[in-house]
Amino acid sequence: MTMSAFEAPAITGAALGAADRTVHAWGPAALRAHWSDPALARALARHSNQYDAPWRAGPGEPRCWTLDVGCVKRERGEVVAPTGGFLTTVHLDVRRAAPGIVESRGRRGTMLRIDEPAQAASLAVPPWRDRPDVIEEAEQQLTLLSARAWALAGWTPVHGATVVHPRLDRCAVLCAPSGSGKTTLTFSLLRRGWRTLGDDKLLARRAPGGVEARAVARRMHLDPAASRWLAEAGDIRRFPTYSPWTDKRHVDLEGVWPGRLVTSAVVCLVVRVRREAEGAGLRWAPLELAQRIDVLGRQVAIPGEAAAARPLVATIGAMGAAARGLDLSVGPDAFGDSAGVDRFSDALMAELSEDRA
Amino acid sequence: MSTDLPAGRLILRPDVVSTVLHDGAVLLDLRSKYFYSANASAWAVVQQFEAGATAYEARRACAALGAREADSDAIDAVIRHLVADDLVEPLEGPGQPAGEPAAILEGAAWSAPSLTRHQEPLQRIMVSAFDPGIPMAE
Repeated sequence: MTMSAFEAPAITGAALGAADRTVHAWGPAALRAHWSDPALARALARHSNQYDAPWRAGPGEPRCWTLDVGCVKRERGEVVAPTGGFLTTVHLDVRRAAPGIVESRGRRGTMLRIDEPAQAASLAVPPWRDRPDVIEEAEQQLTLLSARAWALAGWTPVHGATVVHPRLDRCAVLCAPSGSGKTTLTFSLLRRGWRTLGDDKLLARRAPGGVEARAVARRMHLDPAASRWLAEAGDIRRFPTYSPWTDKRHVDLEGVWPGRLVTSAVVCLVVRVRREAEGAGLRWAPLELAQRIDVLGRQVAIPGEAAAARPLVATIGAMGAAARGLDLSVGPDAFGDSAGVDRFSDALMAELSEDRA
Repeated sequence: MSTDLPAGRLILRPDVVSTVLHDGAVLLDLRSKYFYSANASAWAVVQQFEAGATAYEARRACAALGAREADSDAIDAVIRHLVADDLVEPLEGPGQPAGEPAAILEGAAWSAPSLTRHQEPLQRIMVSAFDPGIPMAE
């Protein structure tokens, strides 16, 4: 059987036979998954179950999605040039196949078809045993599905850490590429009394009086090397890894700092975090509106389709306009300079205080 | 009045998305991946091209919103910027008849229009559907 580029095989509940069924809370969405291979469900469980933060449901939430996951006897697909008109990631080419239908083809042969009006999707996975790259790609497909489910529910997924004022429900969004120190900065502030919505992901939407941010995951991602300045976390190596591609560990935040995970806050500050090869400690300067928009734009996967991009751009614009900004340079061993982190914590506290509103 | 602007009707490209802020607007060109910042008056100029307009019609609409003769060069500069960066394209066919000129943002008075392209475009290829950035080496 030959398949055209985006001809995802139809997988129906009836065809699944001894299907395994699982239910996953994904913040404003809920996913009911039917698995043709229970072992594949287990292989993807850590990813499927990661959005475990408590969610205060609004009207119409959660939006229930169904996902049928099947295995296909298809060898590794040819590597194609990235041409996805809807979205292009290092793993996926995503296109709008028809009104309401988004299709995503992975470099390793996975295929995802999202029927947006029906809130239904099917995922086809090629032979995956002993193939962590196929599992990783299937995880990326699930990430795409979650991002579309959230966007269609009115939430903008933002790749960023947050620190929340110790007493006020006001937060700063820490923006940087992965590996730039968002998590270490977040933990350094947590030990000084700050709270958080998470170190990697948040959902945002416009709300009366500003932009509301919500937590979606309880777990954080820590490098074992951080043990040397985060004594509270103990030996970080005791926590499980979550990907074959990084030594970072999934750390249960509540287990280390009980009560520090909050579920929502108003975005009042945008912080661009930049790791510097030279320079001492932490240094910061104001960030202008255009810079805040650019920084936030780099933390949101904006589709190339206008209708899908418009609500995300609206959230970015609202967040950039409602918040102030700081440009933070992180020098080598900045987190070993306790006095320097104290000074930055004080500066953040001042930025988020009520009299700055 | 500038003579180097297209005489025909122009329309904002459909893949340029915008959002209104309290004192202007932000536009994102999904083709080039650049953001643009427009102050309230530049946003009023841009809005003239949402349904299609000539440069002359846009200038006339701006005059109705409070622009003076001295603002003509700045208005033309915004239109020239829109044309140079392909944010507008020629409107094929007769187009829609010019309607009421777009209003300037509530609370804003006419000032010299300013449209600025941001420094760096957004990334075209992303790490994932949640994480657009390219990770730093760890």
